[in-house]
Amino acid sequence: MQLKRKHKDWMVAFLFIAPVVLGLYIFFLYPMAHSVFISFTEWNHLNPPQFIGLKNYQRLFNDPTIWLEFKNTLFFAVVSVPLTVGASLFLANALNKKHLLGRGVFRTIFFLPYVVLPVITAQVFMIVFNSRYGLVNGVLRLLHLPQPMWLSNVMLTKFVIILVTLWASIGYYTVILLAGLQNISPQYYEACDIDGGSWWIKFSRITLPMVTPQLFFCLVLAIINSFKMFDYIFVFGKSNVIVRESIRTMAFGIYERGFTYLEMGYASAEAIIFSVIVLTVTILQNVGQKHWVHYN
Amino acid sequence: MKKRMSKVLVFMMLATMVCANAFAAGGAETKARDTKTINLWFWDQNGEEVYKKMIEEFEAENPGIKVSMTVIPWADYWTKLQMALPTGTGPDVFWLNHPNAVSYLPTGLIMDLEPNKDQLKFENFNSIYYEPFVYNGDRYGVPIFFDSVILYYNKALFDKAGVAYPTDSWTWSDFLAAASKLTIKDKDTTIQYGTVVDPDMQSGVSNFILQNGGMLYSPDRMSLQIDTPEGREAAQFQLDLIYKYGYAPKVSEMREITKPTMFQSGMAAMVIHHTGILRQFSEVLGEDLGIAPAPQQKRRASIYHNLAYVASAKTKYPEEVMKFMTYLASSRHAEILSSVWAPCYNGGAEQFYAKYSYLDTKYIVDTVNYGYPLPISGKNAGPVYTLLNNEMDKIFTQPKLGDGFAEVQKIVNAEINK
Amino acid sequence: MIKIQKQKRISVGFFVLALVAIITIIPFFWIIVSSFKTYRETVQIPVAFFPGSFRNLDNYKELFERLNFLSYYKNNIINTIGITVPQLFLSSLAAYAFARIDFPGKNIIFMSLLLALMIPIQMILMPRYKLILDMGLFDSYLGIIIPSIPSVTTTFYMRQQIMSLPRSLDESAYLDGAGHFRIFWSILLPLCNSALLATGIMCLVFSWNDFLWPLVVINSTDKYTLSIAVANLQGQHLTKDNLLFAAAVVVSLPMIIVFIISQRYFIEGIALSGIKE
Repeated sequence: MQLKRKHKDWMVAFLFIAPVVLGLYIFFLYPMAHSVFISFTEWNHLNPPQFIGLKNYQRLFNDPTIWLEFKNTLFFAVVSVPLTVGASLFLANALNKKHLLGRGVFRTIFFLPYVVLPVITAQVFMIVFNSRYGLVNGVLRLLHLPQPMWLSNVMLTKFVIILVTLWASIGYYTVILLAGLQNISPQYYEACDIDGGSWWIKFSRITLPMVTPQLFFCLVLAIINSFKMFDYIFVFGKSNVIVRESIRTMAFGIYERGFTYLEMGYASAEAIIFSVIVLTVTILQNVGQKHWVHYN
Repeated sequence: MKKRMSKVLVFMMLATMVCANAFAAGGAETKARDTKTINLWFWDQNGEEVYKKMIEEFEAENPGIKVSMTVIPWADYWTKLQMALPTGTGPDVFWLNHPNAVSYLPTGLIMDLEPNKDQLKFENFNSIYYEPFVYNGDRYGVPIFFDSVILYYNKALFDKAGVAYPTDSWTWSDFLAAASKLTIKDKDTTIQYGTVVDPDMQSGVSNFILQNGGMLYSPDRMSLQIDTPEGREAAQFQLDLIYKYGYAPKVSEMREITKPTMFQSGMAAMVIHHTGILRQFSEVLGEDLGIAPAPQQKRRASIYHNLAYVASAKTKYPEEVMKFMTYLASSRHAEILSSVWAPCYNGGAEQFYAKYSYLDTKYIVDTVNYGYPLPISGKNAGPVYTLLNNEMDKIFTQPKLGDGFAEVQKIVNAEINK
Repeated sequence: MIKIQKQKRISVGFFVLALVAIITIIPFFWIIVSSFKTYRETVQIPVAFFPGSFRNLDNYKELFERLNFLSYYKNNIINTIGITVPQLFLSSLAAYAFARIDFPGKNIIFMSLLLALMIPIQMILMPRYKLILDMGLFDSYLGIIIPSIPSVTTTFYMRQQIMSLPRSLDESAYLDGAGHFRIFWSILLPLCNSALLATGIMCLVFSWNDFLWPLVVINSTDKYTLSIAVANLQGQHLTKDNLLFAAAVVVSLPMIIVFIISQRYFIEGIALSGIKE
């Protein structure tokens, strides 16, 4: 009787997951497998791919630019992810208070950047950080502070990119985390109030542990997204080729090699290595979650 | 709970409507297949109206043929083409430019037009416009419109500084002298630049290299040859404009604000740029806009570039496509096109420039006599063009050229021969 | 139980929040004011913050009259709803199975799904395109919708959500004779309202703004999405910022309105009824 139920369960499970799994396998994993195949070829989009074995990978490991791209990718991930997710958590927490005046307005304001098309975001911030007439330098001028050429300096450009990424994505993570926070029963907080708990106690003992499922989701996603980010490198690096060469990430390199230099084979090889790296990081996160994520 | 159920129901209804619509759209397509539809792809939205007009005319004269035009965003035009053409889902007729002609023509995806040369009447075009679209001696493209490089200047700023307008006998030293009087500083910041220096290989330094008697590519276009004394001299002249004299902004500032904006806003008094931007400049500056030939040095030089219509070799309707191409090669096409661009068709440019009677547009027409084609390599033209522009940008961040050109040559030639 | 009355307070935190909010919203002000400018006003240096006249609606007129933005709205709505509704349902269904049912290969299959997120999408465009061609979905709404329905993110998120609901709910329902679907649909899903709403909005926005895949699939201008129409405003030689920003307003507005309306549905406080503490 138990076995029958188990098998019936399995059938139900497979039925439930079938649409999503089949869909993802067909439209994502099969094309990825095709990409693996292409990584062993030379292909310029127009002519049929030509098999060249491991040459692309050999070239990859001897290419100093790839190493630079890897370092930059790591840099953006390590700086931007904790910043973005951390800020979103604090923000979600602040917006969760019932007694906050104008809470709905605040929520909408912080969500707005997520709605804007990336191309528009990039264009606006190019203007904001313009060294001659941009808003930022305008304010600095009023304060008699130095007004750097933001996008002609490698460190400053990196800073701008991290800032813009934060601006554009904070809405996403905040909404996700906010939904998670709303599932926490206020009775816990009230009990804490009665016991005389401070804001920090409430946050670290109640809020944080109970939102770990959503937090885990945000971290995994934030890391993957930060690895894939390239729009901003592309736009903010436009004004200064030297800066662009210094801040290039793997995602940017893959795009440029595949679509500007028409070396799809080489780009695919880099993309495969890229996926392996991201997969490894994600697996590590998945394994590590047992130590800190609390499901009910 | 009830609220949610009703929300779900509303969603379901919408979803059903959506599906019905999605299927219906598929149905409409099958109906249209009874007439033969040719697809035209191009990348400039400014052309939508003129093409609509042309298509109306063409369809009226050719019942049974429909032309469907699609404007593709410039940044993604080639990506989409690369995906659509080899799979047979691409356009039947589309725009092609010089750099991409080099990659596309040898693939067998483009229709050879030579068998139809009597229909198309290539003699109506100056050969410099269809030569970049020749492969193995055969012509593959019908020229559309061209642009060349001239000197734009702001009459109001010239008047304010009391400088005489540029003439067609201007040399580099006249140019330099004018730039010096047109550069205005306010303490440490330059608020007006005489000119703008551009490392670009179409609208910038390449013109100067040629004007000085230097060369860009070898005759077989398989190696870059800018590293000559004349070429280096030209580049240093440009660098001096920025770093020695301060008459032009640094390249990164130029790219931040963009050259056209600098000129349109009055931040630069004169710029060398291609004629594709004439309409825009004229809209913003009106009567303050003046044009003159780019200054000469040892000779005159102006880089020109043009587009061509090409047809897909895999098209389902080759006869209909040829009829359309014939129309696109006609004077009627040039007439309609001339309200937006300068057609390559003989005499077409004059029709375009007639709209700018207050400008000395004869200077633009004259550039045909001393025009040099856009510098593109014989192999890997697209990637090489991008690489070359990137390397030039890098060189222009230093006040002294030094070995710059030798470096660029090495890198670019390696890419050409990959 | 003591009811603690908290009146709406303005504290230091409020001011900090307000300051951050103002900084966040400044780029929007720029976009909005620029949408009323003429092209000439956008190429002045220094660029003026305010347009010559707020009554200058020429940019908007151009978008709707000459550039057909109204029909692109229709396309966006079709695609977005066609993607979001099935996605929410199917992802939650799969999430339930991953969260609640023990079946062989569960973890490996789930991890393999995450793989789908790990490759830059430009690399998989061509094979996907060929798939769509073979399915006969080329240049159609379904060609955009069907590959976009399966989503790792939504499934992952809903799985996290369902995993955090107590199993006691499942068990009491099972004892009452409910099968998996009943447990999923009538018991657990209603408790995920906030989460569904949150991820639903995210999906809505993502598919509304999606650019690359629709561009690849669609050849007919009349099926273009708003994001493609916006990209067309960026010309080869120059972009008219005034038009671009007006388009930005036009494209973002519906999503903003949807978000504001949805605010009312975010359930406050206790979402878990029937739980014994």
